[in-house]
Amino acid sequence: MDKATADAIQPYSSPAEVAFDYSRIEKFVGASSEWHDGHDEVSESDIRHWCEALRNANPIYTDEEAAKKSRYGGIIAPPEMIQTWSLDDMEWALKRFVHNDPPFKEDPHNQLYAIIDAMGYDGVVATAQTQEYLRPVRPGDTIRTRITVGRVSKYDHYTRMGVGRYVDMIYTFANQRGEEVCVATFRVLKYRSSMATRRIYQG
Amino acid sequence: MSFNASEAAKLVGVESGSMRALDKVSKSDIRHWCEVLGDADPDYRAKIAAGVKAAPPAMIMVWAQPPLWPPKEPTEPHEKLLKMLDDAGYDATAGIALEQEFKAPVRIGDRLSYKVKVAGFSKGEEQTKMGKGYVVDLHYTFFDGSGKAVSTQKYKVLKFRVMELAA
Repeated sequence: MDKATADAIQPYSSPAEVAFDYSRIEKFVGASSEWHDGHDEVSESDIRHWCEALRNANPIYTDEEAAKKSRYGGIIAPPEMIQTWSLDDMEWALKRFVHNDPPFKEDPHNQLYAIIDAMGYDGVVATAQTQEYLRPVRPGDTIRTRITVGRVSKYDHYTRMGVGRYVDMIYTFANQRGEEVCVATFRVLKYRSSMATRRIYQG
Repeated sequence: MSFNASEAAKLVGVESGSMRALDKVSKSDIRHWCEVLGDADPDYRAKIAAGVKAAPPAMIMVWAQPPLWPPKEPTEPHEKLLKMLDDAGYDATAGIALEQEFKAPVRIGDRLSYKVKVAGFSKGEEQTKMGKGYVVDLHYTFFDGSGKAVSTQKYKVLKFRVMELAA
């Protein structure tokens, strides 16, 4: 058999038997991480950049005079921008996405992911997100984040991506006074990626 | 539309009005800049954490960047000249030289303003390796919130027509 033919023959991705041991991850369900501070204060320049990129001309985000007359009494950050304030800096982003070395490995959700990956469910795709805004975020605020592991599927789902389990994460965002400003949920499908996909990632 | 050099010559030597930077000098923009340039020495993040309230001087052009959106009609002499060149087909831009002089530190939280003067442009169309175009010489002066000049810069840009690839 020549090499091209050999490469074209791929094993089926669906496992013959269930490989996911729920009892190994049960203890993480409902567990929360420590609070993690954002890298910067909420700044008017970051708000402006976001509004320009998304072409959002709402004056309560960028026009101080108009914002003063609004019911918020001053400039607020776009609520949808909440995750911006907890993004990685460049160093962490490179570690996370290039070197597969994410920060805060001791956080329950990161321990959970490591175990799920090791069980062969190493693919990941975001499937749903919700955000509930509780209080306005204003320039000068510092936003910190805590991630709680929500529900994890107890049975395999047969999806077009492959066999997988849903994992819900609950993000809580709070300001410097400890007031919650946003609660968000993020649902990912952790799935058994095909051999073809794994070969790409493993080089 | 062809480039009307005699009309454009009227803009030479004219300084713009005072333009305000769109944002205050902020720690987050300094962090982004340092990260992109890998500027760890001097590490402004560590300096800021230690209480230093100044921005990297080389970053000064950042505070004078125009907004991404909405589009703005040209009102100042240098904007009009660049627009004339755009309209005449010299719509590609390359920064080719920058001389910076720093006179005073730029403070975090300060909102800068700046003026731009058109110091001159090429006498005729120049043939460069990037294509045919005009070199425009712009002189920037930056002021801090109290109106004191913090930096002067000489910026040369090449406005050029992208060369057509040989068939």
